[in-house]
Amino acid sequence: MHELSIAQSILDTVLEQAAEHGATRVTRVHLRVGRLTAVVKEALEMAFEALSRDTIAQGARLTVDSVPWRARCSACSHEYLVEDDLPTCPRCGHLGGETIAGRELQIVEMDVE
Amino acid sequence: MSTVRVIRDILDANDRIAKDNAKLFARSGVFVVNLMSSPGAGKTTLLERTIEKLAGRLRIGVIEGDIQSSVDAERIERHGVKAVQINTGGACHLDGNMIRDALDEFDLDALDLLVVENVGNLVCPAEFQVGEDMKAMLLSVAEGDDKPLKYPLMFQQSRALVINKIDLLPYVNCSVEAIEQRAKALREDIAIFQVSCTKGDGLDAWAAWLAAQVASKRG
Repeated sequence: MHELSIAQSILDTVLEQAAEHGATRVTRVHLRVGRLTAVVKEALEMAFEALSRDTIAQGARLTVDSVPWRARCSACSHEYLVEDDLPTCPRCGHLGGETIAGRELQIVEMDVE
Repeated sequence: MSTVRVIRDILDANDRIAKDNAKLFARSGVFVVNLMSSPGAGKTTLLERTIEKLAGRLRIGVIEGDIQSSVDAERIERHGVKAVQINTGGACHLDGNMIRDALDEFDLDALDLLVVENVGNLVCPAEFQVGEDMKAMLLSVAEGDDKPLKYPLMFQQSRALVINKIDLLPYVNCSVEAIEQRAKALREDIAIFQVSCTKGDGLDAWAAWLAAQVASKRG
C-alpha cells in the first residue's frame, strides 16, 4: 500500500501549486506513472479521495498516463518495449538491459478554478 | 477553469529529505545499507550473523523498521550493537523522514556502518530512498525463483542480492541459477551471495564484501 504515501505526496504538491496560482478549487490532477512503480490506480484514487476531503482538492479526478517499460539492450544498444517479465532484446535475443522508461511517478498538470 | 503545468516528481519531498540524510552520513563517513526483503526471509538473522563477523572490525548501528513490536531491536542489542526500533504503525516501508528522526538517537561519528532493516515487503521499500549508500536485498530459496519476475524494481534497485536458506534447497522447488540469471537481467552489476544463516555457509564472503564497501567510502 505505498499508494497512501504517494497520494499524500500528490496532495501536498497539488495544494502548494494551487495556492501559488491563487486557485480556489482543483478539479483534475494528471499523472504519469511507469509500469515498474507497481502503483494500483484504484488504490491511489481511494487514498487520494480520503486524504483530500475538506481541502480544495476534494472531488478532484485523477487521470493517469501509463508509461510502458522500455530498455536499452546492453549487448546491441537497441531500444525496445519490454513486454514480458524481463528485458529480452527482440533484435539480438540478449537478456538484460538498462531501463530507460517505466520508472516515472510524476504530476504533469492539473485543472484549477 | 485553467490548466496548470506542474511536472514534478511525486516523491520529490522524500528524495530531498533522503539527500539531507545522505549529507549527514557523508560528513560522518558512515556507510549506510538499506536492507530489504519479504517478511521471513531472514533479514534480522542475516544481520545478527553479519554483526558476529564484523563487530571486531567495524562499529555498527542498526535501525529496525517494523509495523509493530520491538523484538528485532532486542535481538540486535543482545549482540552489543545499538539498535533503534521504528514502528511505522501500519506503513509498509520506511521513508527519509522516519530515518531522520531515528538518527537523533545515534552518534554517527562513532559508527562505520549503519544498517537500516526495512519493513518486510518486496514492493514499497524499493520506491523510497532514505539516504542510503546502497540497497541490498535478501531472498530466501523457500520463496521461489520467480520473485525477480514479479518484483523487478526491487532487484533493479539492489546493489547486492543475498540468497538465504540455501540449506533448504533439497526440500524446495527453487533454482538458484534461475534467480541469479533473472536478477542479472534486471541489474547486470548486482553482487550475489548464497548463504545459509543457520549453517553458516557463504557468510564470510558476504561480510568481507560488505566490509570492503564500507572501507571504500572511508577512502
